Amino acid sequence: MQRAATSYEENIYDNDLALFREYSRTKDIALRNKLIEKYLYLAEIMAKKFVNKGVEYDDLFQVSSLALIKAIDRFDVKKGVKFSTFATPSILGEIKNYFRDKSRLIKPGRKNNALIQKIHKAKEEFKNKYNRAPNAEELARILKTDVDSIIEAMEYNSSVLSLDSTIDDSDTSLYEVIPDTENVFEKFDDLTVLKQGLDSLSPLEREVIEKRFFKSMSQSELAREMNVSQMFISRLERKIIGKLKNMFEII
Amino acid sequence: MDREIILKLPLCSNNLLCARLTTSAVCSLLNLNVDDSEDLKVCVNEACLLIMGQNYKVVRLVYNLGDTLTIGVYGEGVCEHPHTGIGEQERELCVQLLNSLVDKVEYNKVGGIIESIMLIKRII
Repeated sequence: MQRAATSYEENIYDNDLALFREYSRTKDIALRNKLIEKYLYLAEIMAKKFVNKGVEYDDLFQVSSLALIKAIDRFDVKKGVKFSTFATPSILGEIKNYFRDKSRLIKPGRKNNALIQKIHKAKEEFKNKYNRAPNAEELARILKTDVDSIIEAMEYNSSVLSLDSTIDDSDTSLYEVIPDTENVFEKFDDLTVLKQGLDSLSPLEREVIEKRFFKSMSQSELAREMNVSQMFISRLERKIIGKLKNMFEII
Repeated sequence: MDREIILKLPLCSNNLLCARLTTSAVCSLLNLNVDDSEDLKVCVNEACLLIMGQNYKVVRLVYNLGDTLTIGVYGEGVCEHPHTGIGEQERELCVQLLNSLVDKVEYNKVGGIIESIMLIKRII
């Protein structure tokens, strides 16, 4: 029985190798699609293993699927390894790169990423030894690099502030003190035009605009509340926006 | 000086969180960077899943902290209610993941059944 199972597995393995051989010879897309379908489970399982780490499953599945396609293109049957052995580290690498890139808004690149981590470590060690934070020159000396690279890496690592964060210990948020570059009088003008436009809408149209854009309800939520289909809301919304656009052009 | 940290957990998916968190703490003690810590967390999780698939009741994790970090994942006892386990394809992928993420993996098998897995990571 065991022997039969082994020979069955060997058969599948040989069939796959034949497919890969044929694909590397012909580069036939239909063959590639067949291989993708056959090995899509690899991408699926790998994506599932990395969920709940701040990235949606769909995104991970997309990344791992693309990595699978690349792996199929690069797989060389002459190396004598199974495709899953070859593809797993490739897919894993792509997923890890995606996490690395996604974790920062400003992407510092692999080299700077490594330097940022070294700076963190060196800073901690320096603080423990001298009871103060090191400056850029000292960090450059410790890490045997130039000051410019240190400053560049530190710049990349500076965090992004929320507009809602408060200044020092006060209750004033950042968005209250950042100057608005738009002309305030123009804004008043826009509001007057918008009010005129809204007044010309039917009660139903006004309700839709109010709930969608002032109360931030989604089309589906609004559709549920009004007992209509989401498609209906979508069409109505498009119609109202068209109406308002026409009115603004006239005014 | 080498240090040893031991953690024993009843084998069920929910408890694997404790294994991951302990691994994270051990990595922090060794000043490993985020990438290495994440890799090791995945490895410990996968090794526990492989051990779980062998129907053990408990997993014992032994972290040996020295020039290399060695994590021993030992299955103990027999589970009365068999775990749902993982399929053949996923088991194969677990093995591939372990091979990709640590410097060395050793399987201790008796009669085809995995008794323990040693994960070895060099600390640079």
